[in-house]
Amino acid sequence: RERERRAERQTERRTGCRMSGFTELSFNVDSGYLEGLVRGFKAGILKQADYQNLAQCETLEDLKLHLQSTDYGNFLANESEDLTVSRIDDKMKEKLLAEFRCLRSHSLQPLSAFLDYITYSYMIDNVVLLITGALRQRPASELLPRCHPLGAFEQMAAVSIATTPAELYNAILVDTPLAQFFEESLSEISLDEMNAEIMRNKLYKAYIESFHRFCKAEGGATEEVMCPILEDRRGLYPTCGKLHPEGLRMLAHAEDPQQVKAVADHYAEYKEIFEGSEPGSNHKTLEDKFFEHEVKLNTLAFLSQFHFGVFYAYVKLKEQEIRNIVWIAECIAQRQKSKIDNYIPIF
Amino acid sequence: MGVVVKELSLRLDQCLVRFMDELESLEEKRDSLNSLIEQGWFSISKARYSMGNKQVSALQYGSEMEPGVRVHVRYTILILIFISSSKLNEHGVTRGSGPTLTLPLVLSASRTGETHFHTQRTEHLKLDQSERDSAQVEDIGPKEGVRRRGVTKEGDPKEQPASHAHVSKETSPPSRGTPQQQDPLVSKETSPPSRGTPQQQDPLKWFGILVPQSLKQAQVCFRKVMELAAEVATLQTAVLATRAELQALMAEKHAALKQETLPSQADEQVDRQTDMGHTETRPTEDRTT
Repeated sequence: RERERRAERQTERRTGCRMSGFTELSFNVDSGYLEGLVRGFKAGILKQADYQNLAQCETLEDLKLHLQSTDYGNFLANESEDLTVSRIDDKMKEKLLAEFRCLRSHSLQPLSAFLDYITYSYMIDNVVLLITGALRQRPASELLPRCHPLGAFEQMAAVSIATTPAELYNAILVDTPLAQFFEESLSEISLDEMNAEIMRNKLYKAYIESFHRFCKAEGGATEEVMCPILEDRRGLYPTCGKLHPEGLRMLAHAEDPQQVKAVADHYAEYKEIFEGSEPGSNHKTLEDKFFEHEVKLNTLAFLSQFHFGVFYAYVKLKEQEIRNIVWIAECIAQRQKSKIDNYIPIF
Repeated sequence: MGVVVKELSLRLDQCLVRFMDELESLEEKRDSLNSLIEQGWFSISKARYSMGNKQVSALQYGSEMEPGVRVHVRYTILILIFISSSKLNEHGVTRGSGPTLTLPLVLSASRTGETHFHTQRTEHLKLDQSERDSAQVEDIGPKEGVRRRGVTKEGDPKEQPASHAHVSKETSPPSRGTPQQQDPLVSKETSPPSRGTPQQQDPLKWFGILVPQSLKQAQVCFRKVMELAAEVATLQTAVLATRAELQALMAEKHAALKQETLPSQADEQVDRQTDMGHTETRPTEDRTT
């Protein structure tokens, strides 16, 4: 009887803890330090005032000077040759990579699995870049430095040898984390540009779905935060997301932007994105609007605590920041200051 | 003043007006060329913003590519046969200048015509060389190596018929039949890209299947730039040729004046004429630098 009572009490404690938000209580045990760290990083994201300062620079050297006063510090200090926009881009990505590595190396499961998921999309991009580069007879030594550093994996150098997706999978990718996304897209069609693009879309779709499942399995705040973001991304690829299934059927019949717009009107979130994006308008393009929407969702992630969404949101916001700074740098370098305010401010 | 001088002055005026017109249109075309190039580059940066920096870069094009646009050079040759005016078998017209010349003017312009077209032709050749070199330099590329549509100026195969035509031109006054077979007319048009070979892809495909609007805009800009570049080149040669013509006419006029006017009255008049001549030539020389 005592044993029964003890067992009961144990189960009570266990189930009671689960019901009362066990994850929130124990989140900090494993990941508290890292959440604090990532929030510190987030505080260093450039603000509107910083962007205005940068937009007033006349040369790239000025830009470098202004960036020194922000969190970026002296990351460009060792650049001896002339500063080009692509060097700035590379260096910023390296900095992001360093921060990410720091986070990843300190993390435990399941956060480490989550962080790995973030890198898979960059890996997919790198694979496609290497394949298309090989199609153009570019040597691997030229392609490898251009890959996104966050998506690096050991077998990258060998990717350019593959000619069909099946070969790619069997020879190279089977040992990488990307293997799980290959189930549907194995085929003997040779990899030319069109198929590389299709393969990329398939892989990406599989990746997003898998990520979505993972977040759902995590439950709690992670699911709440990540799923809308991922669904937005999925919405851009067929067969998933909020547009499924009627919206997709309508989209498939859409012949021109107007019809696409009409379809999107049915769904409120997409409606405001499509508004004002007439062809020929000087203002934001469709891609800009999607980026804005994503930024909005990502900033919302920081409003709640004890979930993994902050890490994903941080990486994506940093990416947007890099895009903004590169845009400003291009406008300065090409002396087209009129469009310099087309960046998307984050905070 | 004599009739010859009057006529020369008239032609001089016409030539000057034509020269000014050509210069003005050259300036305009150069401006639009510059702004189109800037726009093209800027659209490419916009595309990089949406697609990612590495998606629009030197990696997207192969190191060897088929040119989509070829520039052909047309050398206009005046081939005159002095047997009879009815046997005039060829007169071409340069792109920049006006409508076809009437027959008496052709005969009288034959002298200036020869020197005129000669320089134009060598200018064309020189232009080809420099353009080819600059095309190669452009291939190595600006710092952010961006897609370029390979343009080759087919100077080499054209030089053969050109030099042939040159030789035939030199000997044309005495000879008769050869110019007919030779057809020196190689047309200078920028042929529209990617029509002949079916394997040639639209370069837009290099960047993926769905490309953002800005890439398409960039392509449109650069296509216009191609056409404009050819027009600017033609105009430049035309301007130089007109300037040479102007100077030749000036010299003729001076010679005619010296012959006509009597030595006693000559001093005053010649002084006045040369003063006017100087003021005429000075502004043109300034403009042609």
